[in-house]
Parts: sequence; structure tokens; C-alpha cells
Amino acid sequence: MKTIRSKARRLACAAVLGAAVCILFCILPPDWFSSYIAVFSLLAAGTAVLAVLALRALHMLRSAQLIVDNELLHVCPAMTKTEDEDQSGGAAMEVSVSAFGVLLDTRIVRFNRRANRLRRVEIGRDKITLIYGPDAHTGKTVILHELMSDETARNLAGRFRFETGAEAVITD
Amino acid sequence: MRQTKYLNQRTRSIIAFSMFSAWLLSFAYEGQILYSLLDSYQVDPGKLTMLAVLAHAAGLFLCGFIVKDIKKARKVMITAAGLCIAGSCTFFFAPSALWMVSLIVMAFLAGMWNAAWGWFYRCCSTQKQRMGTVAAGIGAGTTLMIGLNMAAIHIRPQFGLALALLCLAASLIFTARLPKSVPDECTQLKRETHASIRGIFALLCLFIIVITINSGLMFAVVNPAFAHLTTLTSWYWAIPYIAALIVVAWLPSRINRSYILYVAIAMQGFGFIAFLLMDRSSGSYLVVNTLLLGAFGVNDLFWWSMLGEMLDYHKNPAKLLGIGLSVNVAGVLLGELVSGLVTGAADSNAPTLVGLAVVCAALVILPILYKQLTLLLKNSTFLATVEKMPPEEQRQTIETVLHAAELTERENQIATLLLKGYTYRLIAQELFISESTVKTHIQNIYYKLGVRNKTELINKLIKNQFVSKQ
Repeated sequence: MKTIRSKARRLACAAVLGAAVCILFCILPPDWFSSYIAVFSLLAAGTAVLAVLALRALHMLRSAQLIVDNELLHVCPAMTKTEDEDQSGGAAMEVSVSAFGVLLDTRIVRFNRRANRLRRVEIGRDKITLIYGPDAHTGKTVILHELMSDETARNLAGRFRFETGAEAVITD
Repeated sequence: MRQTKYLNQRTRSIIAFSMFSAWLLSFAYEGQILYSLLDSYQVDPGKLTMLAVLAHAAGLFLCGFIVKDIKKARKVMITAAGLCIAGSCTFFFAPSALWMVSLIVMAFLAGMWNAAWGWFYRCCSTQKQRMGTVAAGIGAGTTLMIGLNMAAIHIRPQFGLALALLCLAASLIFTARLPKSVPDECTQLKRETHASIRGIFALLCLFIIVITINSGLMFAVVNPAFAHLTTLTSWYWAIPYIAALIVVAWLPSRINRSYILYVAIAMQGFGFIAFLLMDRSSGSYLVVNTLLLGAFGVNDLFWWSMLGEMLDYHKNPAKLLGIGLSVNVAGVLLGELVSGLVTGAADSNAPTLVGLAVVCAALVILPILYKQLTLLLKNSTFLATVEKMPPEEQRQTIETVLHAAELTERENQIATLLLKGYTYRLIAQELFISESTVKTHIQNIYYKLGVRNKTELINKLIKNQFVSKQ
């Protein structure tokens, strides 16, 4: 979350700075006219690119904030793997699981948005499996975590059902 | 009987408003009497009138933040009228710095007066009567203004000013006879809904600005072109405006007034085209002025009546009316500013072409804005209707809607509150979640229900697509 936030801030600042320089160029065009157009064009293009990147980063930050605000489960550190990775390929990271998606350090998996629904949640003692997508088999993320008591698992299942409407089952 | 007594106050409030408007339009707010006086002393009106207009806008805008109840509104109106009488008297003497000070103070107080009148506009008229109230007030005020202007032009400016002062004094007398308080059911005719009217009001303000830009353009471009027709312009100028008010306000209710708005927009377009193509004779003036001022009359009546409809949804009508009217002034200033920027161009038709461009933009924007506004107002009407339902019927209505989509329990919770008229902020507070969470859930709810926004949802409900008739 911190990484996402700092990245968004850096890009936004850079975009604003670029825009300010472009505006200055418009108001006070420098005397070296022959290069002015070329330099201004480069600046404008660069600013536009930065602005797009900043918007994307801000959008990502917004998604991350939404996940953190509605956190159902926080695991730190957590081992994760997706369908294509094996156990040893998993990465250790801070994970937040919510009704709107999963925040995996700097990566976000969004669901419960339009057609991309969270379909099923399988809560085990040491892992939680999230199955989501327009089709039941589209996406699957498994998060390994420390041992969880039965009561905690039941509470978590209930909250998932309430928030997402997904089928939440407790496995061994 | 109690209701009848207070409804009789309607006539008094209309008379007070029309008398005050007559003084304001003929004198303090860029009035002909003021121009005649300044002209007789060879004083340049430009800066003075601009400051007065800005002061008037400030008075309109700020009134709602000071006047919070009907008692205070009445006091402010009486005080303002009294001070305006005193200020107007300074114009019987030779010009001095006092003229500028008096005019600016009077314009500010006049703004306060107009905004404070919002309390009586709401409390002394039922919702159905509001269009008639404002049509009568503006129509009578404008008619009196014509008489005062003609007196100033054809007799003496000081004579016109004296007559205007009589109108102002009459306004003061009728204001003093307005009620100091009204029954609770008059101040809360419609219970405040949780639905926020900020969005609706912002849309209405945009609507008002787009319409009145054309008014400003007309004042700055068209009127000067016919200034040589002094006799005709002195009395005919506002006749089409008054006629439009009378015709639209007293149309049978079965006629859809929204069609008339489109006719008015078209009239504006034709009016500017006629100005471009025709000469500057009396006949041309009759055509151009009739088209443009007739259209402005229709437009003004529409946004005034929409403001009047919204008064029941806000606790402070002075604030709502004041801000709405100040936006109107801003629109006129914007129109004059735009014309000022293009005047002096090599092409003498440039200002007119700009006017046509603005008309074209208005022709595109206004129907969309009007549609959104009426849909949103239907939304508020619907929500008010839902709130008035017995609890069981309310529950069934909402359940019917929610059953149409497979909502999660959380989404059900949020949708129920949304349909009861809660704002996003209130829903977030109620459920102890963040506002952005509420917004995300609502987007999902709309997706599942097959609508794009609350307006479409309410529109569907109103058309009974979801609500089953018992």
C-alpha cells in the first residue's frame, strides 16, 4: 500500500511539474525560437505520458484503498501462489483480502466488480482459496497464512457471504 | 381557514415584489432612469453600473447565509427598502462620490431583498401557484418599469426617479404587512428528504448560466444597434417579455410546457439570425426584439418556476433563491463580457456570430440539461412519495425493486437506504463504512439492475417497471 501510494504521488508530482513547465513555455516562450517548438512538443508529450501513468497509479491507489478499507483478512507476511506457479515459486508479501479484491503488496486482484464476481471462497486452517471471474474457473488465488481457529474461520466465511454473496465453505 | 389566511398573503407578497422590481429594474440595476440621470450630467455610466451589478450579485449570494428564518427575512426586506429610499434620494442632487456609494449599497441591499423574498415566495404560495406568483410579480414589475422608463425619457429623469421612489415606498408598505411567522406546515410543506439537492441545484445553475449568456449578448450587441429608435425602444422593449410570461403562466395544464422551452430556444436562434440579416429599421426591431425578448420571457419563467419547485426541498429558501438569482446575474455579465471581447473586431458581424454560436451551444446543451433536471426532480418527487407511503407499502415497493436483481446482503442494505432517499454520506455513516465503499457497492447494484444511474432507476420505478400495482 505504501509503495503504491508513493508511486502515485511521485508520478502525480512529475505530471504537475511537467504541466507547469509547459504552461511557462506558453506564457514566456524562450528566445531560441528555432528549437522552441521541438522542445515544447517533447515536453508536452512527456507530460501527457506522465499524466496517463499518474492517472493509472491513482486508480490503482484508489482500488488499494478500497480493499484496505474493507479488509476481511490481513496476512503479513503471506505466501501466495496462482494457478501457474508452484509452491516454491510463491512470493512472501503483505496481503489484504477484502470483498472487493486482494492486495498483494503492489499487485491488485479485483473482483466483485460488474461481471467479475467472487464465486467461491474456501477457507482452510492454513490457506484461503478465492475463485472469481465471469466464469467459475477463470481465476483462482490461494493465500497461505498462519493457522486459524474454527471460530475465526466461521466468522470469516459469514462475512464473505454477507459482503460478496459468494459461496464460502470451510475446508480441513 | 388558517391556510387561507396565509394564502391571501400571496397577493401582498406579489405586490411587494413587483413594486420593488419596478424600482430595481428602472433604476438601481442598470435602469433607464439611472442612465438618463447620468447622461443628463454627462457622467460615464460604465464603471458605476458594473460595480452596482456586482454588488447586487453579492447581495443575492450572501443573503442566504445571513437570513435563516422568515422573521429575519421580513426585517431585512424592510430595512433594505428603507435604506434604498434614502439612497435613491441622493440622486436628486448633483453627482458626487455619494452617488457611487449609494448605488453600490442600494444594489447590494436590493440583492438581499430579492433573496430574502424567497421565504415569502415559498410560504405564501402553494407549489402549484408558484409559476403564477412569479409570472405575476415579474410581469407587473416589468410593466411598471416601462412606465417609469418612459417618464424618465420623455418627461424628466428626476420625475421618473420620483415615481420609482413611490413604487419603492409601496413595496415597503406591503412588505411590512407580510406575516412575521407562518404555520409549521408552511415551512415544512414537504418533509426534507435525505436526497441531496446539491446536484440538482448545480445543474439548474448551469442551466441558468447557459440561458442568460444570450441575454447578456443581446443587451450588449442588439440593443445598441437599435438605440437610434428611442421612442419605440423605450416602450416596446419589454412587451414581448411580458406577453410571454402571461401566455406561458396561464396555459392550460394539459399542454406540455417543455415543448414551449424548445420553441423559445428556436426563437432565440431565429432572433439572432434576423438581426444578422435584417437592417436596423423599426420593422426589423419589432421582429428581432419580439423573438428574443419573447424567448427570454419563457426561459426566465422556466428557471424561476424550477427554483420555486426546489424551495420545498431546502430549509433556507433565501439561500436557494439568492444563489440561483446571482448565477443569473453572472450569466448576463458573462454574455456582456463575451461581447466586449469580440467588439471592435474587423468583422462588424463578429459579436452577432458569437451570439449565434452561443445559441447553437445552448440548443445542444439545454434539452439535455432540461431532461436531466426534470428526471432528477421526478427522482425527488418519487423519493418524497416513497417516504410518505405507509411502512408496509414502502417495504413492498423497495423489495419488489431489489428482488429484480440478485443482490448480496450488503448490497440489499445499501439499496434499501438509497431508495429511501439516503445520500451516500448518510449511508456510509449508517453502515459504518467509507463513502467510496458505498459508491462501489452502488455501481454494482446499478449494474445488476441494468441501469446506469439513480435517475434511470427512479425513472424505471416511476414507469412502474419494477413496482407491482396492488
